[in-house]
Amino acid sequence: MKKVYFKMAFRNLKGRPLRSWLTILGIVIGVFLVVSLLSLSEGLKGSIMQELKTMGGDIVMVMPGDMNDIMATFAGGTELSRHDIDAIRRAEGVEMVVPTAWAGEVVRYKDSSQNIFIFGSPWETSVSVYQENLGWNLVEGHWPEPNRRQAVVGSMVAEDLLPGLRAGDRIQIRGHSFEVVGILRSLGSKQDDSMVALDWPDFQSVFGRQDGSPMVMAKINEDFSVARVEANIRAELELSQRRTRQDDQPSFSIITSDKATDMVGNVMSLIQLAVFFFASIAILVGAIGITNTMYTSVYERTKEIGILKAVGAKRKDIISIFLMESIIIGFVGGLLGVLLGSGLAYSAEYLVPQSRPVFHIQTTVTILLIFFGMLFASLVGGLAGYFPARRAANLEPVDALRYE
Amino acid sequence: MLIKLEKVRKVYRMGQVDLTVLKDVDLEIEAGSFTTILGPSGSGKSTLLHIVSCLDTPTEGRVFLDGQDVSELSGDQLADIRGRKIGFVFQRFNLLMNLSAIDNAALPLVFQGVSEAERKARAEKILTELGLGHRLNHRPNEMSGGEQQRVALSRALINDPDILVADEPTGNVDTKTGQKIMELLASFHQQGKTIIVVTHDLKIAAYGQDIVELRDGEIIDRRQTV
Ligand SMILES: Nc1ncnc2c1ncn2[C@@H]1O[C@H](COP(=O)(O)OP(=O)(O)O)[C@@H](O)[C@H]1O
Ligand SMILES: [Mg+2]
Repeated sequence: MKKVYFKMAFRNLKGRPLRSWLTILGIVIGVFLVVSLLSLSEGLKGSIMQELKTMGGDIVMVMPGDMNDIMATFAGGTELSRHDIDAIRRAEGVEMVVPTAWAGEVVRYKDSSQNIFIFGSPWETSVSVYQENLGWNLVEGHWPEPNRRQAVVGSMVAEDLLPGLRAGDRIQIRGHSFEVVGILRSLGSKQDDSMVALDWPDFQSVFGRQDGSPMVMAKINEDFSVARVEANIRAELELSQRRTRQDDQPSFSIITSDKATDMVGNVMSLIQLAVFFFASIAILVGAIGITNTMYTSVYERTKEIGILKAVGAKRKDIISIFLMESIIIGFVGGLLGVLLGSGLAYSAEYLVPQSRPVFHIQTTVTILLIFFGMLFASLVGGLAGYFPARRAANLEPVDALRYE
Repeated sequence: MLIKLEKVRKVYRMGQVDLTVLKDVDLEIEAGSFTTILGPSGSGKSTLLHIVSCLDTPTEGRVFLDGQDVSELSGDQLADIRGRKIGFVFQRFNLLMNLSAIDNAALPLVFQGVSEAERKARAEKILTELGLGHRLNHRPNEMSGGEQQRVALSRALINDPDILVADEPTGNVDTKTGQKIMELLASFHQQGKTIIVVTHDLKIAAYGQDIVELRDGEIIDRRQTV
């Protein structure tokens, strides 16, 4: 491909700027959608997977509601009751039970106040599970003791959210005062690093809740297999729910780390597939725009094609000139689409936590995605321009020259 | 013998009707001659010139260029011959509007695979010779008709062709400029090129040493003055 063809194509595009930019815009939108949506969903997947990875193999989660309706479970206000928690505790092979609960609330420290993710669990059992199974470490202070209104905070809380906060300081939540006794080492996830963890009874009193929990962690005795304990928990919970609620249809989910990873992986892959499908339609529409513009361009430049042929241009020369034009459209569209798309994906990372402290998305704009986006857009440009270019190349020189 | 046409017939199909534009034309053009093709509008001059210059092929009959039968070559093979052996000058100049004078003049060399530096150097040399040294980077719409026609002439000469064909080269310029263009063509003839000019103007035709008169697709007269 000769440099001069690029120059000619570029001049032609510049000669009709509005039409060129509108055609480019069609590709920009398509690539923008692919890049931003794929980055966001990839980021979402990454955040969830990381969350799951911190949960070791000998921990299972028990949640209310049917797992097939997992989104409703996360979003809905249902909880496992105190009876349910006791039932889990009774199951053979369960070594320890840690009920948990969470909420977003304003936390005050000296003059600063921030909306922060608050996490509650009984220090009595949870401290050891956190240390041994979830890999929590302290950079400052000491581990909390039960029933003494002591809190532990994530690394980002002290660094970012409530600057200056040290172990031994006091924070206020809804008028309740707590002593921060320890600051955690980073757990590698923004969500975990920006939380304040409270003792179970403290969490209950701050938020005025009953003893229920939306998610209970159960630690499995190492002499038992995960599958067996899962079955035991299921049996106990079904029994308890039938008895206490007179419920024919017990409704809860037991999530082992393997199961969770599989499930999230599947759901996210499906979402990504759908996203890719719809964004591809946008790109297809952009491609049709290119084909249309290029046909118009061939039509308008019939005479010019005749001149080029008269002075010795062969079919491949004409094809190259026109293909170059559509490839430039695709490439520029791809470049802008990638820039805008990754721009949105990055800003989402900073925008989301402010409105909802509970959920962080760490977006992943991979080099591969950028490279692929631009290559793909150029390829689309080339394909979309092929038939118009072929029509140009097939024109008879005399017919083209006579054209006015 | 440079160019030889044998019973060349050109038929255009217009719906149900066949329009025979050239009727079994026999014509020989010597190397180094200055031939003019004279005739009224619609007599088939351009069609004849296109066939002579490998831009078009006959419906029937044979065309020989340098002894080679070119009547059944492919489009790309003809393009190659045009690019190497033939220079074109058109009535409406037919310059590319978004290219500068130098890029327009150098255009044929692009398809001959000549490097950019050499293209520029050769185009600049020819344009300067034709008095356009101060116009190298001007676009066609910034130049007068005479200047544009000289850019077109430069483009026709850039690949040092054996044959220079011109279809009504003076049709779009005033009489004085037209004379200058014909004098330029005559000077290229002096340098040894074969010149073929199509015109409906007797005065212009008179520049030729070999005047072929065409009417309704047939040669009705031929005057060779040398
Ligand atoms: N592509 C074409 N299809 C149909 N008729 C054509 C075509 N090209 C030329 N003609 C007709 O052939 C005749 C001769 O045309 P042309 O060679 O251009 O004549 P001239 O150059 O002498 O004016 C005209 O009647 C013209 O309308
Ligand atoms: Mg004509």
